[in-house]
Amino acid sequence: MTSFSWKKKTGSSVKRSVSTAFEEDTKDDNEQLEGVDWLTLVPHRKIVCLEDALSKSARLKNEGSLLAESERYWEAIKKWDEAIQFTPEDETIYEMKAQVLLALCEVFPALAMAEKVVKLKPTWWTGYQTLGRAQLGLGKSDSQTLGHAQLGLGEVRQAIKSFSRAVHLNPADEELWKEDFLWSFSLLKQKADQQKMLQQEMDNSKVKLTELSDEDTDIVTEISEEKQGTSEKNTSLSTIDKHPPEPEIKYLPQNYVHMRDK
Amino acid sequence: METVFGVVLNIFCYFIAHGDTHEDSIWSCAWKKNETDGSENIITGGIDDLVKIWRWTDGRLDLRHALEGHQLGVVSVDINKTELAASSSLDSHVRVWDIITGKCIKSIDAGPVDAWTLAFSPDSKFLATGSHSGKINIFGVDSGRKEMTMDTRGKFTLSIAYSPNGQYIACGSIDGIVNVFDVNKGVPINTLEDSQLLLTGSDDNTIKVYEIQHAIMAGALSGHGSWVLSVDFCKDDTHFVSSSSDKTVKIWDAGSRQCVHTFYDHADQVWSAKYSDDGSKIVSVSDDKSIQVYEGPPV
Repeated sequence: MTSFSWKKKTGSSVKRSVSTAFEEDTKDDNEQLEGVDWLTLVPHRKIVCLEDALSKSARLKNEGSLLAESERYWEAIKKWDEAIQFTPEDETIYEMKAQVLLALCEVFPALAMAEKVVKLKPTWWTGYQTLGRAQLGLGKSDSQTLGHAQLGLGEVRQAIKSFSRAVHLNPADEELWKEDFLWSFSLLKQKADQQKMLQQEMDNSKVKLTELSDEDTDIVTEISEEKQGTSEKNTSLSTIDKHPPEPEIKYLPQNYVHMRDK
Repeated sequence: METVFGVVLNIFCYFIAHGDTHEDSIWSCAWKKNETDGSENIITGGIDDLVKIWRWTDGRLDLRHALEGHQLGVVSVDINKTELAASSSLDSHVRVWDIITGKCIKSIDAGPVDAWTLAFSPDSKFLATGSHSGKINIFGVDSGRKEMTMDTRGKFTLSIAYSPNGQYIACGSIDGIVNVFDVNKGVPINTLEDSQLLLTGSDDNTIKVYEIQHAIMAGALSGHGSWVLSVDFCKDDTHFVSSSSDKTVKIWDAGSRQCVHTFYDHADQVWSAKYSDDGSKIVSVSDDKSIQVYEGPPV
């Protein structure tokens, strides 16, 4: 009686020399393995669980907040990242992380974290408060890189919306009302007032300023291209190089590190 | 139980108002039939600072006015049976609007955080608003002045409702306490003659039914998966509607206190759901920027 084994199946396609070369090994294996009880061979691993995922996450969370309180922010973030691994649905960890990232001026990651908080728990007002603060922070960092003195207007508007949602969910919190919501609203008013003043001065002054929009610059570049074409023709005729050497433009690096006082 | 569910499912159909609604979350809505010209008016207000007035005609929702004036999100809106609408916003202003012309008739500065939800009295002469100190302020619609203040001695008043005959005001506060006031005397009471049931929705995911006559809680209805954001009684008192952060709108039978139908049509939390005057339709507004109208059997 022939038993159905892998050797017979593959024998036809495998070269004879190869199959004979391995024949001995397989025979040995079969003989050895027949008498082995596999269950006893598997290393019996005893997993010692001192704490379950929830309590471990809670412990890491606490450790993180202790670290954050003593301003060891990056270490706190590490702890919280670990905690997130155990409880990925716990919005409070994300919220704390967003706050700490904000303290570190890592605005974009903070914003992403805050948005995640709001997505996870849309009825939690603190999430919207942090989101609003992150949006204000973004406005601030924008104004730094762009060189403006004021906050970005769009971000302030978004922040006000986030604070509005927070207030709508919990109108009883004084700090949220006064320090976040009304303050950001006063920012918007300030900006509007400044623009009004500027407009008045523009109207009063005799100097006319025309601002170039994107469309205008298109026209300008077209014109300059045309000019270039004509000038090239001229150079081909007169064989005099009229192009002035282009000045080297040096850009300031925008990703330099801010050194703070602390 | 299953047969009841099937029947209701067949009766309720709904219409969705697409497109030109609000730019962002809608927080509040109200529905009232105008007594003079018989038109069905819906008013909505949201975080985009706008109050919008719609007309419901033959299964269609037409925008009549988009009212600008509030500087911050509109928390609460109400409409009366003549031609007035009122709205309160986060900038602590209460505004009264003319529905027909779309003009702002009155702007009342209620002081910081002194206006939250508002409600017209059934005779349309007064506007009641809750406030941060737990006081209920009653403004005269014609005078635009604060006519009366009732003190709950509690915390922030989040919601407010008149009884159908206008004699009583019920208000719910942020710490979960419900107060009922006699409007004429201005004192809290605990017995009512005409209104028997008081309905509350809260952030413990339940709707509670109180029997005012005996000042007891008659039942706590669970079924929503998240905060219950608004409740409204049908005109004939046989049904009521609730809306929740779990994105659903539920219709309940007032007698059996069972949920008879759930609408899953919103994509985000539903801030408000209100019955029309005749109780045949329901309007709901949500964070997903949409307004939905559900049509049920005529009562």
